[in-house]
Amino acid sequence: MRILVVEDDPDIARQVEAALRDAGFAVDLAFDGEEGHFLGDTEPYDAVVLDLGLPEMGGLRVLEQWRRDGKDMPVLILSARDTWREKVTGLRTGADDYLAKPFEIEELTARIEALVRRGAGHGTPILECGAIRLDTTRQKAFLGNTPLSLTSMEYRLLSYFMHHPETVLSKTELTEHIYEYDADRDSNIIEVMVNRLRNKVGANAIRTYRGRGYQMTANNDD
Amino acid sequence: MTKTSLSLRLALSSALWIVGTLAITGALIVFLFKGHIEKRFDGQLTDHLEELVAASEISPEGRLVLTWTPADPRFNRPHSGWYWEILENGDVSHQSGSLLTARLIPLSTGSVRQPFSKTIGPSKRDLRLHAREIMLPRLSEPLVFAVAGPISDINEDIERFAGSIAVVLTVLAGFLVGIVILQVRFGLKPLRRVRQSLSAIRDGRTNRLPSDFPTEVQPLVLELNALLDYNAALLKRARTQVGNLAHSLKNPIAVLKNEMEDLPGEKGRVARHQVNAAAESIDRYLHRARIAGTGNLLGARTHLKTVAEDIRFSLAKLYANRSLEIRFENLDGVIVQVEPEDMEELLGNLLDNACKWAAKIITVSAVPEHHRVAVIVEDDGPGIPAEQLEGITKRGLRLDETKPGSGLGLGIVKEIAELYGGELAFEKSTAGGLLVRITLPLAAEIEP
Repeated sequence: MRILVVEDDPDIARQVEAALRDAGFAVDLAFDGEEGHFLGDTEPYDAVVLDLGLPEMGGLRVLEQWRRDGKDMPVLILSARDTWREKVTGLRTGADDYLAKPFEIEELTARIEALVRRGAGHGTPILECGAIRLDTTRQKAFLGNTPLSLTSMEYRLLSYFMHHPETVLSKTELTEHIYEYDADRDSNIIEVMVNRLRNKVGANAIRTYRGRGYQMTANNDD
Repeated sequence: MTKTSLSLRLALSSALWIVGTLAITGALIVFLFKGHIEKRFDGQLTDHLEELVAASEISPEGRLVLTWTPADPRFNRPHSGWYWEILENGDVSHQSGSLLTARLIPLSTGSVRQPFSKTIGPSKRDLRLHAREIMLPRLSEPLVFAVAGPISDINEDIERFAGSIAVVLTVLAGFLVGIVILQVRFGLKPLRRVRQSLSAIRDGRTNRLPSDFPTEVQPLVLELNALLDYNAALLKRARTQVGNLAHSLKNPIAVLKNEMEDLPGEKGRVARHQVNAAAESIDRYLHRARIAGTGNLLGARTHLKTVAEDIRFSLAKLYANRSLEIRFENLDGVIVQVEPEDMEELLGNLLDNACKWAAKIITVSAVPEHHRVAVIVEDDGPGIPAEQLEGITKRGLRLDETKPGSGLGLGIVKEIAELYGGELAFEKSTAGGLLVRITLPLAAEIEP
């Protein structure tokens, strides 16, 4: 799951980035509105944290343009502006959540998790697929009742699979959603990581569709 | 009368001037009429006297003989006030029957000094006397002819005339004053329009005065409009400043708060505590600074339902993980005399609080009272124990001591409500949870 954080205050940006990474997200930072708009426009994010008072291009305009161009990823506005008028305007412009500064970092990550989950169509914080369980609030994965020990990249991959169960996901899509913008992207690494994940969650849990991608499935009897 | 009304001043001064002029006119007319009447009366006396002279003949014996006596019956009715008398050598030679035996010209007078004079008749009435000495042939001494009529006849005429003149002039004065009042009303119509426009602004039906006033009133109207604009600009500027201050303070506080999250030991505790305290104060005072809080602000007018819908839309997103339902009852057409942003804060915080506690359903309803409306927000949550409920309603929420999380978080609500002269009451909802009732001023009558 990959998050875009558009925030001009470098300290806040850094804190949010660290917290979200700890929560198992791939995080990209943008420090002004134009860069933020560009990234949100070209990269497939699972959620966006958007400040309103941004240089170059205001947060509301960024949001407005995304929505006008049909970008429908969940957006959380993180702003020092906390009047109801500003909240209403932000939410009416197309934001999905609004958090006023100063904020508890845990609340931000919890809300982003909820947004991502809802964005993928899940109502509860525990995602299940066959015997695999993912507790998104605690970033813990279980096979049955056994906790799984995962690297952060493995967690990101599993999380993306769990958010889209029974869906065939291409290597490109997986790459785009677990790697950050400036990371080295080698699609062969996906193959390696899928195999490592299979070792931990069971070989049948992830099916390979040659030339198309991978599918996490609960129907793993064949 | 402490306050002076322009219409009253104009009408009164005009009335004074109209009545004065007409009174003088009336007096003048009566005076002229009196002169005329007197002249006519004198003419009558002269006619009678000349009639007597014409009737007088001197007999061959040198005696005065009247060939006829004046035919006017008043001369024969005793003490009628109309008399005639002819003196010969100072003695009464002939006289009218009305005199009986009295003398018209007292003996002492003897001769005639003035043709017209005033005298007192036998029945003590004031008379006007016309006397003339006339020399008839064959007489050695001139004869004195005298005719008198009652002055009261003249006065009666004059009084009658003055009476009818007074009636005519009074009617005229009434008519003129009426016209003046109409004229004043017409002339001052623009001022009344200013007043109506102002009350329209106060009711929130409009936010500016129209600009088509006569030149005398226009500068006032322009000044008022400028003042209205200035007020709005002032509020906007204050809010922008507060917003900027909020922005510049909240980022560093957010950073500090998050950095100190895992600062260990006593120092960490102290630092966290202080930063939290600072953050709370800033939050509270910035919110407070943003309240327009002026029901007196001209043009404060807010559609309750529009605001409620905005807030409902927002809360649906903010509480997307809870399947809450916010119901509206009787909000249509309710316009409160509250500055829009204040109303948003008020309702936003009320509903936000209700959402926090509600199980499933929150109801917002409006009950119009006389010139006010009770806005009621209730939820089906756990509510507040009855004994505590009574306490907070009676004492009122002590906001400054309301700690976030522990209290109701309704501090700003109470503050706004009070600035608008509204009352905040807490009750137990029939749905089980808390019921908050706020009375606010209504801007206008309920629109259909």
